[in-house]
Amino acid sequence: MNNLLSIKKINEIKGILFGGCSVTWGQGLYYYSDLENLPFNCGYGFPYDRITQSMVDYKNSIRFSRLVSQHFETFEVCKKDEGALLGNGGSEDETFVFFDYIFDVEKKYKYQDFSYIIIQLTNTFRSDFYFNLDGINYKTKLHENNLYNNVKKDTIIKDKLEKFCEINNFTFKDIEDIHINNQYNKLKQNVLFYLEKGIKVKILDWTGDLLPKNKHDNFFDDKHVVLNFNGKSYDTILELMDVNKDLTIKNDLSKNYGIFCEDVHPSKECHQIIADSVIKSIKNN
Amino acid sequence: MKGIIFCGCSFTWGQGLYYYSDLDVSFPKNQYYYDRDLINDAHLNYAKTLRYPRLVANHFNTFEFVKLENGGSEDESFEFIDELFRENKLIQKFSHITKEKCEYNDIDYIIIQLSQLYRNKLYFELDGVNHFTNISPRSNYGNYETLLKWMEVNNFTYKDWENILLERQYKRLVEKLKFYEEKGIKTKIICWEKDMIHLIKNDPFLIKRHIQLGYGNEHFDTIDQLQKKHKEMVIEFDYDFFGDSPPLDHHPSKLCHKVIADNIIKNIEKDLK
Repeated sequence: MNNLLSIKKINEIKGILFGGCSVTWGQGLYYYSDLENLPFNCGYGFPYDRITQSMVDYKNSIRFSRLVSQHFETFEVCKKDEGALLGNGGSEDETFVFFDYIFDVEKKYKYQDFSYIIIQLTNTFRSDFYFNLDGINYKTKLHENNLYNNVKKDTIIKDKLEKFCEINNFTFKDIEDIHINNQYNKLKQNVLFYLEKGIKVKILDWTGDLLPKNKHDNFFDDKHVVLNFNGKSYDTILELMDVNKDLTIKNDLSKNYGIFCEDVHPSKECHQIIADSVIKSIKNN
Repeated sequence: MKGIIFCGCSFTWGQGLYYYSDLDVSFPKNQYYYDRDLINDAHLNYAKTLRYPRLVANHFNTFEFVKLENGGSEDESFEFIDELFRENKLIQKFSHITKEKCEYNDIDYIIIQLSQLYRNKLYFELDGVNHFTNISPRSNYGNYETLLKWMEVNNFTYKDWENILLERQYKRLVEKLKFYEEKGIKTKIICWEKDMIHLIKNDPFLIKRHIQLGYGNEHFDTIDQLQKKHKEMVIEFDYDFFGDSPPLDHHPSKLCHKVIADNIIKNIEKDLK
Protein backbone atom coordinates (compact mmCIF):
# COMPACT_ATOMS: atom_id res chain seq x y z
CA MET A 1 0.00 0.00 0.00
CA ASN A 2 1.15 3.56 -0.64
CA ASN A 3 2.08 5.73 2.32
CA LEU A 4 2.27 2.72 4.58
CA LEU A 5 3.90 3.78 7.79
CA SER A 6 4.86 1.64 10.67
CA ILE A 7 2.14 1.65 13.26
CA LYS A 8 2.59 0.81 16.89
CA LYS A 9 1.46 -2.78 17.45
CA ILE A 10 -1.51 -2.15 19.65
CA ASN A 11 -3.92 -4.96 19.16
CA GLU A 12 -1.95 -8.14 18.80
CA ILE A 13 -4.93 -10.08 17.58
CA LYS A 14 -6.14 -9.34 14.09
CA GLY A 15 -9.40 -10.77 12.83
CA ILE A 16 -10.76 -14.17 13.85
CA LEU A 17 -12.37 -16.45 11.26
CA PHE A 18 -15.02 -18.90 12.47
CA GLY A 19 -16.35 -21.94 10.61
CA GLY A 20 -18.83 -24.54 11.80
CA CYS A 21 -22.46 -25.59 11.71
CA SER A 22 -25.64 -24.29 13.36
CA VAL A 23 -23.78 -24.19 16.68
CA THR A 24 -21.45 -21.52 15.31
CA TRP A 25 -24.28 -19.83 13.42
CA GLY A 26 -26.12 -19.41 16.72
CA GLN A 27 -29.35 -21.24 15.93
CA GLY A 28 -32.07 -20.49 18.44
CA LEU A 29 -30.32 -17.62 20.21
CA TYR A 30 -33.01 -15.25 18.93
CA TYR A 31 -35.34 -16.86 21.48
CA TYR A 32 -33.49 -14.82 24.13
CA SER A 33 -34.40 -11.52 22.48
CA ASP A 34 -37.31 -9.23 23.27
CA LEU A 35 -38.34 -9.30 19.63
CA GLU A 36 -41.88 -10.13 18.64
CA ASN A 37 -43.15 -13.13 16.65
CA LEU A 38 -40.41 -15.48 17.81
CA PRO A 39 -41.12 -18.93 16.31
CA PHE A 40 -41.23 -20.87 19.59
CA ASN A 41 -43.78 -23.37 18.33
CA CYS A 42 -41.99 -24.64 15.25
CA GLY A 43 -40.68 -27.94 16.57
CA TYR A 44 -37.07 -29.06 16.34
CA GLY A 45 -36.42 -27.86 12.79
CA PHE A 46 -35.08 -24.54 11.59
CA PRO A 47 -37.95 -22.14 10.82
CA TYR A 48 -35.98 -20.17 8.23
CA ASP A 49 -39.12 -18.61 6.77
CA ARG A 50 -40.01 -17.06 10.13
CA ILE A 51 -36.59 -15.66 10.95
CA THR A 52 -36.35 -11.90 10.44
CA GLN A 53 -33.31 -9.70 9.88
CA SER A 54 -33.56 -8.48 13.46
CA MET A 55 -33.60 -12.03 14.82
CA VAL A 56 -30.50 -12.81 12.77
CA ASP A 57 -28.76 -9.66 13.98
CA TYR A 58 -29.70 -10.43 17.56
CA LYS A 59 -28.29 -13.97 17.50
CA ASN A 60 -25.11 -12.62 15.92
CA SER A 61 -24.69 -10.26 18.84
CA ILE A 62 -24.62 -13.01 21.50
CA ARG A 63 -23.14 -16.05 19.73
CA PHE A 64 -19.73 -17.26 20.87
CA SER A 65 -17.87 -15.88 17.85
CA ARG A 66 -18.92 -12.31 18.74
CA LEU A 67 -18.14 -12.85 22.42
CA VAL A 68 -14.62 -14.04 21.60
CA SER A 69 -13.84 -11.24 19.14
CA GLN A 70 -15.37 -8.67 21.48
CA HIS A 71 -13.07 -9.86 24.25
CA PHE A 72 -10.02 -9.27 22.09
CA GLU A 73 -11.42 -6.00 20.69
CA THR A 74 -11.28 -7.29 17.18
CA PHE A 75 -13.62 -8.49 14.47
CA GLU A 76 -15.02 -11.88 13.58
CA VAL A 77 -15.87 -13.26 10.18
CA CYS A 78 -18.50 -15.99 9.92
CA LYS A 79 -20.52 -17.34 7.02
CA LYS A 80 -22.92 -14.72 5.69
CA ASP A 81 -26.56 -14.97 6.76
CA GLU A 82 -27.67 -15.51 3.20
CA GLY A 83 -29.35 -18.13 1.05
CA ALA A 84 -32.31 -20.43 1.60
CA LEU A 85 -31.13 -21.42 5.08
CA LEU A 86 -29.73 -17.95 5.90
CA GLY A 87 -26.21 -19.39 6.14
CA ASN A 88 -27.22 -21.79 8.91
CA GLY A 89 -25.84 -25.33 9.17
CA GLY A 90 -22.68 -26.80 7.77
CA SER A 91 -20.06 -29.51 7.70
CA GLU A 92 -16.25 -29.56 7.73
CA ASP A 93 -16.26 -29.69 3.93
CA GLU A 94 -18.50 -26.63 3.80
CA THR A 95 -16.30 -24.84 6.30
CA PHE A 96 -13.25 -25.26 4.09
CA VAL A 97 -15.21 -24.24 1.00
CA PHE A 98 -16.23 -21.10 2.92
CA PHE A 99 -12.62 -20.32 3.84
CA ASP A 100 -11.49 -20.87 0.23
CA TYR A 101 -14.31 -18.65 -0.94
CA ILE A 102 -13.42 -15.65 1.17
CA PHE A 103 -9.70 -15.84 0.40
CA ASP A 104 -9.64 -17.04 -3.21
CA VAL A 105 -13.00 -16.22 -4.79
CA GLU A 106 -14.49 -13.20 -3.05
CA LYS A 107 -11.01 -11.96 -2.07
CA LYS A 108 -12.34 -9.44 0.41
CA TYR A 109 -9.86 -10.65 3.01
CA LYS A 110 -6.20 -11.61 2.95
CA TYR A 111 -4.59 -14.32 5.04
CA GLN A 112 -2.70 -11.66 6.98
CA ASP A 113 -5.99 -10.08 8.11
CA PHE A 114 -6.48 -12.96 10.54
CA SER A 115 -4.63 -14.15 13.63
CA TYR A 116 -6.88 -17.12 14.35
CA ILE A 117 -9.21 -19.57 12.68
CA ILE A 118 -11.67 -21.35 14.96
CA ILE A 119 -13.06 -24.53 13.40
CA GLN A 120 -16.09 -26.00 15.10
CA LEU A 121 -16.29 -29.66 14.10
CA THR A 122 -19.73 -31.03 13.47
CA ASN A 123 -21.12 -34.46 12.62
CA THR A 124 -18.51 -36.00 10.32
CA PHE A 125 -21.14 -37.72 8.24
CA ARG A 126 -22.49 -34.38 7.07
CA SER A 127 -19.49 -34.29 4.74
CA ASP A 128 -19.60 -36.34 1.57
CA PHE A 129 -17.87 -39.71 1.13
CA TYR A 130 -15.91 -39.78 -2.13
CA PHE A 131 -15.27 -43.00 -4.05
CA ASN A 132 -14.37 -44.19 -7.52
CA LEU A 133 -16.32 -46.92 -9.28
CA ASP A 134 -15.62 -48.11 -12.81
CA GLY A 135 -13.44 -45.04 -13.42
CA ILE A 136 -16.15 -42.61 -12.35
CA ASN A 137 -15.85 -40.40 -9.25
CA TYR A 138 -18.88 -40.25 -6.95
CA LYS A 139 -19.72 -38.42 -3.78
CA THR A 140 -22.48 -39.39 -1.43
CA LYS A 141 -23.80 -38.88 2.04
CA LEU A 142 -23.64 -42.06 4.09
CA HIS A 143 -26.61 -41.50 6.40
CA GLU A 144 -30.16 -40.47 5.60
CA ASN A 145 -30.36 -38.10 8.56
CA ASN A 146 -27.44 -36.04 7.26
CA LEU A 147 -29.22 -34.98 4.10
CA TYR A 148 -30.06 -31.31 3.78
CA ASN A 149 -33.70 -30.49 3.27
CA ASN A 150 -34.58 -29.42 -0.23
CA VAL A 151 -31.04 -29.64 -1.61
CA LYS A 152 -31.49 -31.84 -4.67
CA LYS A 153 -27.83 -32.63 -5.25
CA ASP A 154 -27.50 -33.92 -1.71
CA THR A 155 -28.30 -37.64 -2.05
CA ILE A 156 -27.24 -41.12 -1.13
CA ILE A 157 -26.10 -43.04 -4.20
CA LYS A 158 -27.03 -46.32 -2.62
CA ASP A 159 -26.65 -48.68 -5.59
CA LYS A 160 -23.19 -47.40 -6.55
CA LEU A 161 -21.99 -47.44 -2.98
CA GLU A 162 -23.19 -51.02 -2.50
CA LYS A 163 -21.38 -52.08 -5.64
CA PHE A 164 -18.23 -50.29 -4.44
CA CYS A 165 -18.45 -52.20 -1.13
CA GLU A 166 -19.04 -55.50 -2.90
CA ILE A 167 -16.05 -55.09 -5.25
CA ASN A 168 -13.73 -54.03 -2.42
CA ASN A 169 -15.19 -56.42 0.14
CA PHE A 170 -16.04 -53.54 2.49
CA THR A 171 -18.78 -53.59 5.09
CA PHE A 172 -20.71 -50.37 5.74
CA LYS A 173 -18.76 -50.05 9.00
CA ASP A 174 -15.53 -50.18 6.95
CA ILE A 175 -16.84 -47.35 4.79
CA GLU A 176 -17.68 -45.27 7.88
CA ASP A 177 -14.17 -45.83 9.25
CA ILE A 178 -12.57 -44.91 5.92
CA HIS A 179 -14.72 -41.77 5.82
CA ILE A 180 -13.68 -40.75 9.33
CA ASN A 181 -10.03 -41.35 8.46
CA ASN A 182 -10.38 -39.33 5.24
CA GLN A 183 -12.05 -36.46 7.06
CA TYR A 184 -9.39 -36.49 9.75
CA ASN A 185 -6.62 -36.27 7.16
CA LYS A 186 -8.48 -33.54 5.31
CA LEU A 187 -8.86 -31.56 8.52
CA LYS A 188 -5.17 -31.92 9.29
CA GLN A 189 -4.13 -30.90 5.77
CA ASN A 190 -6.31 -27.81 5.93
CA VAL A 191 -5.06 -26.84 9.37
CA LEU A 192 -1.46 -27.23 8.17
CA PHE A 193 -2.26 -25.03 5.19
CA TYR A 194 -3.54 -22.18 7.38
CA LEU A 195 -0.70 -22.56 9.86
CA GLU A 196 1.71 -22.08 6.96
CA LYS A 197 -0.18 -18.90 6.11
CA GLY A 198 0.59 -17.62 9.59
CA ILE A 199 -2.88 -18.15 11.04
CA LYS A 200 -3.19 -20.07 14.30
CA VAL A 201 -5.97 -22.65 14.44
CA LYS A 202 -8.19 -23.76 17.28
CA ILE A 203 -10.60 -26.69 17.12
CA LEU A 204 -13.94 -26.84 18.91
CA ASP A 205 -15.40 -30.31 18.85
CA TRP A 206 -19.15 -30.77 18.93
CA THR A 207 -19.63 -34.52 18.54
CA GLY A 208 -16.24 -36.20 19.07
CA ASP A 209 -16.38 -38.01 15.73
CA LEU A 210 -12.85 -37.22 14.61
CA LEU A 211 -10.39 -36.30 17.32
CA PRO A 212 -10.98 -39.09 19.89
CA LYS A 213 -10.68 -41.74 17.18
CA ASN A 214 -7.21 -40.50 16.24
CA LYS A 215 -5.60 -40.19 19.64
CA HIS A 216 -2.38 -41.76 18.32
CA ASP A 217 -1.68 -38.39 16.70
CA ASN A 218 -0.91 -35.48 19.01
CA PHE A 219 -1.16 -32.90 16.21
CA PHE A 220 -4.39 -31.42 17.57
CA ASP A 221 -3.46 -31.51 21.26
CA ASP A 222 -2.51 -27.83 21.44
CA LYS A 223 -5.28 -26.82 19.06
CA HIS A 224 -8.22 -28.60 20.65
CA VAL A 225 -10.24 -26.27 22.88
CA VAL A 226 -11.20 -27.99 26.11
CA LEU A 227 -14.48 -26.65 27.51
CA ASN A 228 -14.44 -25.66 31.16
CA PHE A 229 -17.59 -25.35 33.23
CA ASN A 230 -18.13 -25.51 36.98
CA GLY A 231 -14.65 -26.84 37.62
CA LYS A 232 -14.95 -29.68 35.12
CA SER A 233 -13.44 -30.12 31.67
CA TYR A 234 -15.23 -31.42 28.60
CA ASP A 235 -13.73 -32.46 25.27
CA THR A 236 -16.87 -31.87 23.24
CA ILE A 237 -19.83 -29.48 23.26
CA LEU A 238 -22.15 -32.50 23.18
CA GLU A 239 -20.57 -33.89 26.34
CA LEU A 240 -20.85 -30.50 28.04
CA MET A 241 -24.54 -30.27 27.15
CA ASP A 242 -25.19 -33.89 28.00
CA VAL A 243 -23.86 -33.56 31.54
CA ASN A 244 -25.34 -30.08 32.05
CA LYS A 245 -28.82 -30.45 30.62
CA ASP A 246 -29.80 -26.82 31.14
CA LEU A 247 -27.24 -25.70 28.57
CA THR A 248 -29.68 -26.49 25.77
CA ILE A 249 -32.09 -23.75 24.70
CA LYS A 250 -35.01 -26.12 25.24
CA ASN A 251 -34.19 -26.87 28.87
CA ASP A 252 -33.00 -23.37 29.70
CA LEU A 253 -36.15 -21.71 28.37
CA SER A 254 -38.37 -24.24 30.03
CA LYS A 255 -36.67 -24.07 33.43
CA ASN A 256 -35.71 -20.42 33.64
CA TYR A 257 -38.28 -18.66 31.47
CA GLY A 258 -41.27 -21.01 31.53
CA ILE A 259 -41.29 -21.16 27.74
CA PHE A 260 -41.82 -24.34 25.73
CA CYS A 261 -39.49 -24.64 22.77
CA GLU A 262 -37.95 -27.71 21.17
CA ASP A 263 -34.67 -26.16 20.04
CA VAL A 264 -31.82 -28.19 21.55
CA HIS A 265 -28.99 -25.98 20.32
CA PRO A 266 -26.55 -24.40 22.79
CA SER A 267 -28.16 -21.89 25.14
CA LYS A 268 -27.00 -18.33 25.63
CA GLU A 269 -25.01 -19.47 28.67
CA CYS A 270 -23.51 -22.34 26.68
CA HIS A 271 -22.26 -19.86 24.05
CA GLN A 272 -20.66 -17.87 26.86
CA ILE A 273 -18.95 -21.03 28.18
CA ILE A 274 -17.69 -21.90 24.69
CA ALA A 275 -16.45 -18.32 24.23
CA ASP A 276 -14.68 -18.30 27.60
CA SER A 277 -12.97 -21.58 26.76
CA VAL A 278 -11.82 -20.31 23.35
CA ILE A 279 -10.54 -17.10 24.96
CA LYS A 280 -8.63 -19.11 27.56
CA SER A 281 -7.14 -21.33 24.89
CA ILE A 282 -6.04 -18.32 22.81
CA LYS A 283 -4.54 -16.66 25.87
CA ASN A 284 -2.58 -19.84 26.62
CA ASN A 285 -0.82 -19.34 23.31
CA MET B 1 -33.66 -4.68 24.97
CA LYS B 2 -34.56 -4.88 21.29
CA GLY B 3 -32.35 -3.39 18.56
CA ILE B 4 -30.83 0.08 18.54
CA ILE B 5 -30.50 2.29 15.46
CA PHE B 6 -27.53 4.65 15.39
CA CYS B 7 -27.30 7.34 12.78
CA GLY B 8 -24.93 10.18 12.18
CA CYS B 9 -21.90 10.99 10.11
CA SER B 10 -18.33 9.67 10.05
CA PHE B 11 -18.20 10.01 13.85
CA THR B 12 -20.86 7.32 14.21
CA TRP B 13 -19.47 5.24 11.36
CA GLY B 14 -16.13 5.07 13.15
CA GLN B 15 -13.80 6.67 10.63
CA GLY B 16 -10.17 6.16 11.57
CA LEU B 17 -10.71 3.47 14.21
CA TYR B 18 -8.95 0.96 11.97
CA TYR B 19 -5.70 2.76 12.79
CA TYR B 20 -5.89 1.08 16.19
CA SER B 21 -5.68 -2.38 14.60
CA ASP B 22 -2.67 -4.46 13.80
CA LEU B 23 -3.81 -4.71 10.18
CA ASP B 24 -1.89 -3.22 7.27
CA VAL B 25 -3.36 0.23 6.86
CA SER B 26 -2.27 3.46 5.19
CA PHE B 27 -2.17 6.61 7.28
CA PRO B 28 -4.09 9.56 5.76
CA LYS B 29 -2.23 12.30 3.93
CA ASN B 30 -4.06 15.00 5.87
CA GLN B 31 -6.91 15.51 8.32
CA TYR B 32 -9.59 15.57 5.67
CA TYR B 33 -8.29 12.76 3.51
CA TYR B 34 -10.47 9.69 3.11
CA ASP B 35 -9.90 7.18 0.34
CA ARG B 36 -12.55 4.46 0.45
CA ASP B 37 -10.44 2.28 -1.83
CA LEU B 38 -7.78 1.97 0.85
CA ILE B 39 -10.28 0.67 3.40
CA ASN B 40 -10.95 -3.05 3.06
CA ASP B 41 -13.45 -5.34 4.78
CA ALA B 42 -11.01 -6.18 7.56
CA HIS B 43 -10.57 -2.47 8.36
CA LEU B 44 -14.31 -1.90 8.26
CA ASN B 45 -15.09 -4.82 10.50
CA TYR B 46 -12.39 -3.79 12.92
CA ALA B 47 -13.79 -0.25 13.15
CA LYS B 48 -17.24 -1.68 13.83
CA THR B 49 -15.92 -3.48 16.91
CA LEU B 50 -14.59 -0.28 18.48
CA ARG B 51 -17.19 2.30 17.48
CA TYR B 52 -19.66 3.48 20.08
CA PRO B 53 -22.76 1.86 18.52
CA ARG B 54 -21.26 -1.62 18.99
CA LEU B 55 -20.08 -0.78 22.51
CA VAL B 56 -23.58 0.32 23.48
CA ALA B 57 -25.26 -2.67 21.80
CA ASN B 58 -22.79 -5.06 23.44
CA HIS B 59 -23.56 -3.60 26.83
CA PHE B 60 -27.26 -4.30 26.39
CA ASN B 61 -26.65 -7.70 24.74
CA THR B 62 -28.40 -6.66 21.61
CA PHE B 63 -27.80 -5.65 18.00
CA GLU B 64 -27.30 -2.34 16.30
CA PHE B 65 -28.11 -0.90 12.89
CA VAL B 66 -25.63 1.63 11.46
CA LYS B 67 -25.52 3.20 8.02
CA LEU B 68 -23.48 1.22 5.51
CA GLU B 69 -21.24 3.93 4.09
CA ASN B 70 -19.18 6.61 5.75
CA GLY B 71 -20.20 10.23 6.25
CA GLY B 72 -23.61 11.78 6.47
CA SER B 73 -25.96 14.47 7.60
CA GLU B 74 -29.36 14.55 9.25
CA ASP B 75 -30.91 14.33 5.76
CA GLU B 76 -29.11 11.06 5.23
CA SER B 77 -29.77 9.84 8.76
CA PHE B 78 -33.51 10.09 8.24
CA GLU B 79 -33.24 8.52 4.79
CA PHE B 80 -31.40 5.65 6.48
CA ILE B 81 -34.10 5.15 9.08
CA ASP B 82 -36.85 5.39 6.46
CA GLU B 83 -35.04 2.81 4.37
CA LEU B 84 -34.66 0.41 7.29
CA PHE B 85 -38.39 0.57 7.98
CA ARG B 86 -39.61 0.74 4.39
CA GLU B 87 -42.31 -1.84 3.77
CA ASN B 88 -41.59 -2.55 0.13
CA LYS B 89 -38.60 -4.82 0.50
CA LEU B 90 -38.23 -5.46 -3.20
CA ILE B 91 -37.00 -2.05 -4.29
CA GLN B 92 -33.98 -0.58 -2.60
CA LYS B 93 -34.17 3.18 -2.80
CA PHE B 94 -31.00 3.91 -0.86
CA SER B 95 -28.96 0.70 -1.15
CA HIS B 96 -25.73 2.60 -0.45
CA ILE B 97 -27.16 3.59 2.93
CA THR B 98 -28.35 0.19 4.08
CA LYS B 99 -29.25 -3.22 2.77
CA GLU B 100 -30.97 -4.19 6.02
CA LYS B 101 -34.66 -4.15 6.91
CA CYS B 102 -36.57 -4.12 10.16
CA GLU B 103 -39.93 -3.32 11.70
CA TYR B 104 -40.73 -0.56 14.17
CA ASN B 105 -41.36 -3.14 16.85
CA ASP B 106 -37.85 -4.59 16.41
CA ILE B 107 -36.31 -1.39 17.76
CA ASP B 108 -36.20 0.10 21.26
CA TYR B 109 -33.97 3.12 20.65
CA ILE B 110 -32.86 5.46 17.91
CA ILE B 111 -29.70 7.43 18.72
CA ILE B 112 -29.19 10.39 16.41
CA GLN B 113 -25.77 12.00 16.24
CA LEU B 114 -26.20 15.45 14.76
CA SER B 115 -23.51 16.45 12.29
CA GLN B 116 -22.62 19.80 10.71
CA LEU B 117 -25.72 21.81 9.91
CA TYR B 118 -24.69 22.93 6.43
CA ARG B 119 -24.43 19.34 5.17
CA ASN B 120 -28.23 19.27 5.03
CA LYS B 121 -30.01 20.43 1.93
CA LEU B 122 -31.44 23.93 1.87
CA TYR B 123 -34.22 24.16 -0.71
CA PHE B 124 -34.96 27.56 -2.23
CA GLU B 125 -36.60 29.11 -5.25
CA LEU B 126 -34.85 31.52 -7.59
CA ASP B 127 -36.42 32.97 -10.72
CA GLY B 128 -39.23 30.41 -10.54
CA VAL B 129 -36.82 27.47 -10.44
CA ASN B 130 -36.37 25.16 -7.43
CA HIS B 131 -32.81 24.67 -6.22
CA PHE B 132 -31.02 23.19 -3.26
CA THR B 133 -27.52 23.36 -1.79
CA ASN B 134 -25.86 21.37 0.93
CA ILE B 135 -22.86 23.54 1.26
CA SER B 136 -22.06 26.66 3.24
CA PRO B 137 -21.84 29.96 1.33
CA ARG B 138 -18.48 30.38 3.05
CA SER B 139 -17.06 27.05 1.88
CA ASN B 140 -13.80 26.90 0.05
CA TYR B 141 -15.09 24.15 -2.21
CA GLY B 142 -18.15 23.32 -4.32
CA ASN B 143 -20.53 25.49 -6.29
CA TYR B 144 -22.84 27.80 -4.37
CA GLU B 145 -23.24 30.65 -6.84
CA THR B 146 -27.00 30.12 -7.09
CA LEU B 147 -27.29 30.23 -3.33
CA LEU B 148 -25.34 33.50 -3.20
CA LYS B 149 -27.61 34.96 -5.87
CA TRP B 150 -30.70 33.87 -3.92
CA MET B 151 -29.26 35.48 -0.79
CA GLU B 152 -28.51 38.66 -2.70
CA VAL B 153 -31.99 38.85 -4.24
CA ASN B 154 -33.56 38.39 -0.83
CA ASN B 155 -31.02 40.56 0.96
CA PHE B 156 -30.04 37.63 3.23
CA THR B 157 -26.83 37.68 5.25
CA TYR B 158 -24.78 34.60 6.13
CA LYS B 159 -26.50 34.61 9.51
CA ASP B 160 -29.92 34.68 7.80
CA TRP B 161 -28.92 31.65 5.72
CA GLU B 162 -27.80 29.85 8.84
CA ASN B 163 -30.99 30.70 10.73
CA ILE B 164 -33.26 29.58 7.89
CA LEU B 165 -31.43 26.27 7.59
CA LEU B 166 -31.32 25.83 11.35
CA GLU B 167 -35.01 26.52 11.79
CA ARG B 168 -35.94 23.99 9.12
CA GLN B 169 -33.63 21.35 10.54
CA TYR B 170 -34.88 21.95 14.04
CA LYS B 171 -38.52 21.56 13.00
CA ARG B 172 -37.73 18.40 11.02
CA LEU B 173 -35.82 16.92 13.95
CA VAL B 174 -38.72 17.46 16.36
CA GLU B 175 -41.24 16.16 13.84
CA LYS B 176 -39.21 13.01 13.07
CA LEU B 177 -38.43 12.17 16.68
CA LYS B 178 -42.07 12.56 17.64
CA PHE B 179 -43.01 10.25 14.79
CA TYR B 180 -40.64 7.50 16.01
CA GLU B 181 -41.75 7.98 19.60
CA GLU B 182 -45.34 7.43 18.46
CA LYS B 183 -44.15 4.14 16.99
CA GLY B 184 -42.93 3.12 20.44
CA ILE B 185 -39.25 3.85 19.86
CA LYS B 186 -37.35 5.99 22.35
CA THR B 187 -35.03 8.60 20.86
CA LYS B 188 -31.79 10.20 22.00
CA ILE B 189 -29.64 12.98 20.56
CA ILE B 190 -25.92 13.54 20.72
CA CYS B 191 -24.35 16.60 19.10
CA TRP B 192 -21.03 16.89 17.35
CA GLU B 193 -21.12 20.68 16.93
CA LYS B 194 -22.98 23.43 18.75
CA ASP B 195 -25.16 24.59 15.81
CA MET B 196 -28.44 23.44 17.28
CA ILE B 197 -27.62 23.23 20.95
CA HIS B 198 -29.37 26.49 21.94
CA LEU B 199 -32.57 25.32 20.26
CA ILE B 200 -32.33 21.91 21.91
CA LYS B 201 -31.85 23.52 25.31
CA ASN B 202 -34.90 25.70 24.85
CA ASP B 203 -37.13 22.88 23.71
CA PRO B 204 -38.64 20.75 26.51
CA PHE B 205 -39.09 17.79 24.15
CA LEU B 206 -35.53 17.82 22.80
CA ILE B 207 -33.68 18.65 26.00
CA LYS B 208 -35.05 15.48 27.60
CA ARG B 209 -33.51 13.51 24.79
CA HIS B 210 -30.17 15.26 24.55
CA ILE B 211 -27.25 13.31 26.00
CA GLN B 212 -24.55 15.39 27.62
CA LEU B 213 -21.10 13.86 27.57
CA GLY B 214 -19.65 13.41 31.01
CA TYR B 215 -15.92 12.84 31.35
CA GLY B 216 -14.35 12.92 34.77
CA ASN B 217 -16.13 15.69 36.65
CA GLU B 218 -16.88 17.69 33.51
CA HIS B 219 -19.91 17.73 31.25
CA PHE B 220 -19.97 18.71 27.61
CA ASP B 221 -22.89 19.54 25.35
CA THR B 222 -21.08 18.44 22.22
CA ILE B 223 -18.40 16.02 21.06
CA ASP B 224 -16.54 19.02 19.70
CA GLN B 225 -16.33 20.61 23.15
CA LEU B 226 -15.12 17.33 24.64
CA GLN B 227 -12.46 17.01 21.95
CA LYS B 228 -11.31 20.60 22.31
CA LYS B 229 -10.83 20.23 26.06
CA HIS B 230 -9.30 16.76 25.91
CA LYS B 231 -7.08 16.40 22.88
CA GLU B 232 -6.65 12.65 23.38
CA MET B 233 -10.27 12.33 22.23
CA VAL B 234 -9.02 13.02 18.70
CA ILE B 235 -7.12 10.33 16.81
CA GLU B 236 -4.42 12.72 15.65
CA PHE B 237 -3.62 13.70 19.23
CA ASP B 238 -3.80 10.22 20.69
CA TYR B 239 -0.11 10.06 21.57
CA ASP B 240 -0.73 7.44 24.25
CA PHE B 241 -1.67 4.95 21.56
CA PHE B 242 0.34 6.03 18.57
CA GLY B 243 3.46 7.52 20.08
CA ASP B 244 4.96 10.57 18.39
CA SER B 245 3.27 10.14 15.01
CA PRO B 246 -0.45 9.55 15.26
CA PRO B 247 -2.40 9.36 11.99
CA LEU B 248 -3.63 12.76 10.75
CA ASP B 249 -7.26 12.10 11.49
CA HIS B 250 -9.58 14.47 13.35
CA HIS B 251 -12.18 11.82 14.12
CA PRO B 252 -12.99 10.54 17.60
CA SER B 253 -10.30 8.36 19.15
CA LYS B 254 -10.91 4.91 20.56
CA LEU B 255 -11.22 6.52 24.00
CA CYS B 256 -13.69 9.09 22.69
CA HIS B 257 -15.92 6.34 21.33
CA LYS B 258 -15.77 4.69 24.74
CA VAL B 259 -16.74 7.94 26.47
CA ILE B 260 -19.65 8.49 24.08
CA ALA B 261 -20.79 4.89 24.58
CA ASP B 262 -20.58 5.11 28.37
CA ASN B 263 -22.72 8.24 28.37
CA ILE B 264 -25.37 6.72 26.12
CA ILE B 265 -25.44 3.57 28.26
CA LYS B 266 -25.81 5.63 31.43
CA ASN B 267 -28.61 7.65 29.88
CA ILE B 268 -30.49 4.58 28.64
CA GLU B 269 -30.06 2.86 31.99
CA LYS B 270 -31.85 5.79 33.62
CA ASP B 271 -34.84 5.03 31.37
CA LEU B 272 -34.76 1.38 32.33
CA LYS B 273 -34.84 2.04 36.09
